[in-house]
Amino acid sequence: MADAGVTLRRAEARPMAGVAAFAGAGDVQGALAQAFGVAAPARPGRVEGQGVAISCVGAGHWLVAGGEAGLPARLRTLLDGQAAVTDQSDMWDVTCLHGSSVREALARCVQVDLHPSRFGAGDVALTRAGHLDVILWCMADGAVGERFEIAVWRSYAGSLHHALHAAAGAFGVHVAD
Amino acid sequence: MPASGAESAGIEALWQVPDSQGKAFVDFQNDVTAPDVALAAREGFTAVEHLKRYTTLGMATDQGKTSNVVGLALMAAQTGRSIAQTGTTVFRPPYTPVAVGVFAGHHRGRDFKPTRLTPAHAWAKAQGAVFVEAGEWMRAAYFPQSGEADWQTSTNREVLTVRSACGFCDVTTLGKIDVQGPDAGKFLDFVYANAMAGLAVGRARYGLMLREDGLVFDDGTVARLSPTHFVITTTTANAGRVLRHMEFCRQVLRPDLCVCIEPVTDQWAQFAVAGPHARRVVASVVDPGTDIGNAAFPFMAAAEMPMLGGVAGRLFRISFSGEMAYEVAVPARHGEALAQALHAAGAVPYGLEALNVMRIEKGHPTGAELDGRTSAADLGMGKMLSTKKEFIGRAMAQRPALLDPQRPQLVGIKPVAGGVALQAGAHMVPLDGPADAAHDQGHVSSVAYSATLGHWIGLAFVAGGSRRIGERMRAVNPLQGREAEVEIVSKVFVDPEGSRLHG
Amino acid sequence: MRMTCPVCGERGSEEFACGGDASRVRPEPGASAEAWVEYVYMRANPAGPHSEVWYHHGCRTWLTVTRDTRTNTVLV
Ligand SMILES: [Zn+2]
Repeated sequence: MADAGVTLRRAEARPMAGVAAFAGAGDVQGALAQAFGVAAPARPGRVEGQGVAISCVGAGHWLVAGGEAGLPARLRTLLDGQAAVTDQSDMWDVTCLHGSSVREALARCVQVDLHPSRFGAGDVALTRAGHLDVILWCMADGAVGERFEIAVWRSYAGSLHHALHAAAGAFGVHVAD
Repeated sequence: MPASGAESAGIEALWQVPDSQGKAFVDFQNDVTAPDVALAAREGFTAVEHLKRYTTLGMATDQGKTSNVVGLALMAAQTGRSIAQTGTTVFRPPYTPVAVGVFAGHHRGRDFKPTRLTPAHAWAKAQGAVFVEAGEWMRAAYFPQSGEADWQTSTNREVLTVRSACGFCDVTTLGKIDVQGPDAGKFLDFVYANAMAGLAVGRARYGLMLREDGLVFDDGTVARLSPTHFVITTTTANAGRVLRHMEFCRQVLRPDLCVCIEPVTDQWAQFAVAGPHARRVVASVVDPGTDIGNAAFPFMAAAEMPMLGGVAGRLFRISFSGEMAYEVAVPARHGEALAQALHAAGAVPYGLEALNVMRIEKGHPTGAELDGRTSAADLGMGKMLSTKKEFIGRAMAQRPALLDPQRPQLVGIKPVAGGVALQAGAHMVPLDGPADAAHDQGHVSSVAYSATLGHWIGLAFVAGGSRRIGERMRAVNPLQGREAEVEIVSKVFVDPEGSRLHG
Repeated sequence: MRMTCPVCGERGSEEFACGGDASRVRPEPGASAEAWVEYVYMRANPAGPHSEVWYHHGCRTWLTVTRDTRTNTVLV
C-alpha cells in the first residue's frame, strides 16, 4: 500500500530477559560489557552488541533481547549473585512501526515528546499509550526511514493494536506480515 | 427634516412588584425567591459569589441565564449599589459552550479501559465459554454444553465434575511477582503477616498481606524455587496495587535489604487442575522422569520441571477448590497447548462461577470478604500473624478495637428450610425483633448454590460469629422485602478435615 | 502538572501515582500507639509547599516531589 503513512508489523518472538542489579553486589554493567562488548546505558536508552539489544528500563534495570533461546539462562550464569534475571521472552508483545507519518501517529497515542530533538535513535521511553504502560524505542533509521518499536504486556496486545490503529488511522495504516 | 424633541422613553426597571402576595421567584430552576435574596443580604452574604452559594441563585444548569439579572438587581437594591457594582458570578458550562466531543472524550467504548486476554482465550472461546469482565481481564465464567439451559446448570456440572473427577481453570490472571535476592526471604517476612523466610526450597505457603493500618490488604501464595528466588501470586484485582506497595516497601521502607522484584504475570499461562483424578491429568502433561507422586510432590510442593515435551514449566501443589489440586504454569506461548493437553487428558474446563462456588464451599475469602474492613482475626486467620518478626501492619493490628471478640467474624450460613435461596448483601439480624440498623449484627458477603451439598450456602460476617455456631438468625434484604432463616455453621462446608487435599 | 522522574526525566502527572507525605518516617517496632497513629493516620494539610512521594508507573521508581498544593507547581 503505497499511500500508507504508517506501517505496523508484529515483531517475531525473541528471547528477552529482565536484569535487575542487586544494590552494591558487583558490577552488572561491567559484566554485560564483557559479555556483549557494549556498555549498557544507565538511563533509558538502547544499545546493540553481539546479537542482543540492551535497553535500560529503570534504575539498575535492563531488558536484554535477542540472541539464542538460552539467553535468560546464560545471563543467570553470567550475573549470578549480582542481578536478578527473569525470563520475559513470552511477556511482551512488540510492534514495529515505520512510515512517513509515524512520529505524528505515535504522538497521538503516547504521552512523551516525540520531536526528533527529544526522542531520537537509541532513545527509550517508559510511558503510556492510551491507558497502557508501554516501552517505546526509537530504532536506528533503516531502508524504510525512521523506525520505532513499542512493547506492551502480552495480554494487552489487542488493546494496544486498537490504540495504534486509532492513532494512525488518519494517515493510512498498512499492516505488514 | 423636522426634528423630534428630546423625549423620555418612560422606561423604569421593575425588578419586583411591590407588596405582591405569594412567592416571588427569582431563580426558576433553583426556586430562589426575592425574600431569599433579602435574607442573604441581612446575613451579610452581599458579595455575589456568597449570594450564589448561600441561596443557590444561578447555580442551576442555566447558570443564572434566566435569573441572575433579577437576583443581582435585588441585591443591588438591598445594598444601595448599582448592578454593575454588585457584579456577576462566574458563568460555567453549559452556559459557557463546551464542544460535545469533550464530554464524549476519547476514552469511550473500547477505549474506556484496556482489555486483557489470557493466552488460552481463543481456545476457551472455541469451547463455547461465556466470558465475564474481571477488572481488565476477560475470564471464562462457564462452559455451556449442549442441552444446558442456563449458567447455573453448567456451573453445577462443572462443580460436580471437579469434586468427582477432574477439572481445569485458567488462573493466568492472578498477579505473579518474581522476588529474588539474598534478602528475598527477609523482604517477604516484612511484606507478609505470616513467616516466609523459613519456607523450605520446593515448598509453597499461603500468604496474607496487611495494610499498615492492620487490616487485610491481599492474599496469595508464596513459593520458594531456590534459597534466593521466590515467586508470589496476588489476587487478580490487586496485582498492580500489590506491586506498587512492594516497590514502596523495597525502595522507601527497606532500602537496607538486597532484593529485586519483577512483575511476570504475562510471562506465564497458569491453570488450576483440581479433582480426584488431578494427578493422573497433570502427570500426562509433565515430561517423563519427574515424579509427582504424593511422596515426592506432596501438598504445598512447588518446583520447576519440564512439561509438554521440553517446555520449562512450573508446578505448584496448591488448592483453592479444596480438592487435590495443582497449578501448572508454562511460558505464555504454550498456554493454548497446555489447555489442549489438559483437556485431552480428560480434565473438563471450568469457569469463574464454578471456581467461586467451590471456594465458598471451602470458606476461602476473596474480594467480597477482603473488602478493606476486615482483620485477619475476622477471617479466622488471627493466629497467622507472626509474633516473631516485624511486618507491615503488625503494630496497628493489635489495637484493642481490632481484637474485640464482638467484631464481625466470618462464618458459614445455610438456610434452615431446604430450597431457600440466599442473597449476598443481606443483613444478619436476630430471629425476633425488628430488622433495623440497631439490631444489625453483620452481613452476608458471598452466596452460592452448592451442587455438592444440594442447597444454598453463604459466607457472612456476624458479630462474635465464631462462638455462635449452631445459632439461628435471619438474613434480611429490606430492599427487596426478602428474608431467610439461616443457621450459623462452620465456613468450611466441604471436607472440613482437608483430607482431599492430601490425597 | 509535570514531574521529573530521576530515571525517565520530565513526564505528565498521568504517569504517576501519589503516595502522600514524604516526611513521615515509619516508627521502629515497639513504638508507642501514638507514634503509629501519627504515622498511619495524621496528616498535615498545608496550603503551600508539600513534600510528597510519587510512583512512576513506567520505571517503577518512587520519587520525592515538593509540590505547592495551591497551584500544583512542582518546586523540586
Ligand atoms: Zn521513571
